[in-house]
Amino acid sequence: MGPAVSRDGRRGVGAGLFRGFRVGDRVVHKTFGEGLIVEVRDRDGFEVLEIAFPEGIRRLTSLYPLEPLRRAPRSDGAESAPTLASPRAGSLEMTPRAEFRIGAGAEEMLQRILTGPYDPLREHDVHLRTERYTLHRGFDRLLCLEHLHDVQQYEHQVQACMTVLRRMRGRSLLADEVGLGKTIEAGLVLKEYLLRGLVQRALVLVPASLVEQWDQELRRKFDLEFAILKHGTAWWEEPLLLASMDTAKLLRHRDKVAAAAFDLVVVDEAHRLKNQKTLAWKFLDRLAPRYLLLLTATPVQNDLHELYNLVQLLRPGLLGTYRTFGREYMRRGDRRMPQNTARLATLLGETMIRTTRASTSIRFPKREVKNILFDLSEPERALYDDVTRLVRRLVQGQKESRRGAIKLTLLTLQKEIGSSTFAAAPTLAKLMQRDGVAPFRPEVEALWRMARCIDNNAKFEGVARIISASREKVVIFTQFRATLEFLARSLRAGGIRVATFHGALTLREKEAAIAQFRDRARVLVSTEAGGEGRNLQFCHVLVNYDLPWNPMRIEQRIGRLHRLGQEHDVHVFNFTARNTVESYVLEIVHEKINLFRSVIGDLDMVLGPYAEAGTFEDAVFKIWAQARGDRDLEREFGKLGAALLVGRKRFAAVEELDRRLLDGLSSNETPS
Amino acid sequence: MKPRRNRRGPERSELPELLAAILEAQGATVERQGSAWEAALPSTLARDLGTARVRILASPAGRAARGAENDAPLTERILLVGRSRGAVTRLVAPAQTGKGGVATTRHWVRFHWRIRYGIDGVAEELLTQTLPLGGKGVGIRPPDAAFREPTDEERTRLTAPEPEALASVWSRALRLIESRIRLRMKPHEDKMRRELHREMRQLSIHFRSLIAEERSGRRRRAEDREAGRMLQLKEDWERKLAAAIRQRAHDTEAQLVAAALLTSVVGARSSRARGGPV
Repeated sequence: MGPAVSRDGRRGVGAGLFRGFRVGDRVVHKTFGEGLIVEVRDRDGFEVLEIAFPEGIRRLTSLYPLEPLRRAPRSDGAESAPTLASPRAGSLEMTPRAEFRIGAGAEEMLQRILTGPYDPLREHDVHLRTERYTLHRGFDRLLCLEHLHDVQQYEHQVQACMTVLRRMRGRSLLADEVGLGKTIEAGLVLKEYLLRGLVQRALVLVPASLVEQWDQELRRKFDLEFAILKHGTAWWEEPLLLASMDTAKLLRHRDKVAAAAFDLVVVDEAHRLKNQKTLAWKFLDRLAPRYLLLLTATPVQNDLHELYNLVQLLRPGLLGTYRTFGREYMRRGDRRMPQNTARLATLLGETMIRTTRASTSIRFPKREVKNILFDLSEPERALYDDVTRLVRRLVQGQKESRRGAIKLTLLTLQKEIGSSTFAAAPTLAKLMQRDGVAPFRPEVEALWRMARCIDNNAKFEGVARIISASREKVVIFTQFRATLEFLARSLRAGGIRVATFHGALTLREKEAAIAQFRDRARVLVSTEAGGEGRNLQFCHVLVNYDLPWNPMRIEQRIGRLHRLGQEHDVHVFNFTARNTVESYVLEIVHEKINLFRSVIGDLDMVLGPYAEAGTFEDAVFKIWAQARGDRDLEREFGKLGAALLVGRKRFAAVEELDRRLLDGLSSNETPS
Repeated sequence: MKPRRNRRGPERSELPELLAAILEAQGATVERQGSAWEAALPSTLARDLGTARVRILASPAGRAARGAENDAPLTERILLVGRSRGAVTRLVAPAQTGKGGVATTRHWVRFHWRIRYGIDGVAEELLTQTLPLGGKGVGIRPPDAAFREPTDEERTRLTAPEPEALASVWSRALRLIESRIRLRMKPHEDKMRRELHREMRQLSIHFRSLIAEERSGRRRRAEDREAGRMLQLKEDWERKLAAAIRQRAHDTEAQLVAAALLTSVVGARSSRARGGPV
């Protein structure tokens, strides 16, 4: 064929419409005179030149009227040495920017277009389908590793990801022990499939309490913008969807979720799918995605059949029928203990990955906790007690039906006064404006005046002592902006460099605040808002200036420092005034849940009915506001603590069971 | 609002289906029994694959494509059979005309390219080009779905395309691929240039100090000496850049994997009379 491929079978691309100036050329400009080109940069359709003129270097484009200057040979016949535009100097032929080669066989096919023979359409289609299929690259190398932000990669995570992709073909139960980064593993698999184009639509199902956290992690670490399932939005149009399992399985959503045909579904805390008679299990079974990842540290809680039900979602039939599984692999009379363990291990190895802490060389830092109980100053104590009295009177005085309107304000006020007097003052001011508190207005106003008169807090003095006692970087958490500003102001007055981080900052300001803390400041004062997922591992001292009434929030605070990658033991200081709500909350989370000492994988399981957002806070507030005296408080908080203790023990038992059961059954090896 | 329908198109076939289709296209007798395919191979295929019968299994739930990976080498061999040669086919569609136009026989050529860029960051791709054969007034191309295999009668009436016309289409196709490759490679090349520029920036600073020195009146040195040194450095830089680009570009290959000659046929009955494409 005539114009086919050039001599050597290659075609050049990008001749460009440039004037061909080269570094070293001498040019004449009508204003600046003679100059020497010292830099040439290609732009679209022209060149940008840096030219050294007698009065300085100027940047011009090749569109200017520039005359190349050629030097005449010397009179003695030798070239002026060295001639800048001479062949020696300018002989560099810039290689075309891109080239390609036409594969063999093209000429033959062109000939066949002209003269035949022609293949049947069916064969042609099959050929194309095969070509398309073979485009998929192998999983011998992970593409996603270059696209992660702020993720410290661990060997076991990369291995698990490879095993899921290569051996398990995207359907896997990730049952790593708590704290080994199951979320990261799932994120790696998700990102890898998305990069390779094997997944276009993905759904992540998590407990309601973890939606925000997952959203942050996926956005920040994996650069994945997930839409969150919300009623009233066209969420089913979204290719990447994040939802709580409870929302997704609602009658009004479940058909649309199923119809959206997600390629990959990730389920966090998948032990909630242990029973195949539940709506959640049936819902997931109906989704039937191509790839499915189930994440749980405790796949078995009471019964080996729970494990069977999870595997049934991933690889139906792998463990036989429900009945044969019971007969072959469960010890008679003990539903928790397996038999034929070798065979069961082989089968589970096809779909389950479990990495234990012992099997990794990662050092897990400890949590050192110090509770600092102190007495409020006299005016602070008086204010605290008066606010508490007011809250109790307002709550107890209202009828149950009318209580809701004001309850949120009172709950906030009670939390604020536990944080600082500065945080409570604005809420007291707002409370004065409300109609519902008209009879109490003079009293509220008096409290507001009292709060405004207090210009220092006893708690701050304790914090300042801790900061000045060492040279370590410190993160101070508070729930309220007013407290944050007071802290920042007071610390700066003491000559300490402080960075502040709160929800009102823009994304860039937040990054700047973290960078400032990392590079220059000694103290970061932060609210929790928007801080999840931000990397603070370079610091290992944390001060809870006030204590959230929600254990999940406390865990999230500690989790910002105490995570994979933290090299030091994390020191947690809890500041709590005696005889306040916080002192009771602290007792519960410290003594009963033991939250500060160890990582609890599934706080939801421990908290039980209090896991839903706000319910634990409500329970605490209800006890506090309705108490008639200290004895009431002791009794009711005692009951709440006992309920959580049961949850904690139950979780510990399940964890122990899974450790005993699964560690012998699992492996995390990638076949060669 | 109604939820969107399942987006999985026909192209998203699973591996077992694809393997069965390859065998069938090569003359095997394939029978499907649920999630299993049984293929009795013709003698040539049996010789190539080393077996007379192949059984292809999907996973128990039919969800994940597992195919014949029970025997991975066999799967590879079957896939190789499917890819073993480029296919050239000929398709026809009823001729279409514009408003007031006259239906005439038109030719198009469809090329399927497999482009391997030779850079880790750019995945291989299958590129389809459909180009008209013949210069001006090529007319309206019928939609893809309208093309089919010609009947025996149509086959006798079909004319071969002009070699010159095909030659010009071929060079146009190559130009289009050039643009495609340039578009894909540009970010990577730019990145490479940026890295080299960065590396050379320090040298540039050095150049400037030399120029300033030269201008400040220290003319005792030979004329253009500093500029000459500077040029030498710039040359090194350009040579390095060129070498890096050449090294990357060597691996970029466009392979013509399939082609189709598309012809719109003026039949005894027009497409309108037949009520649309066949």
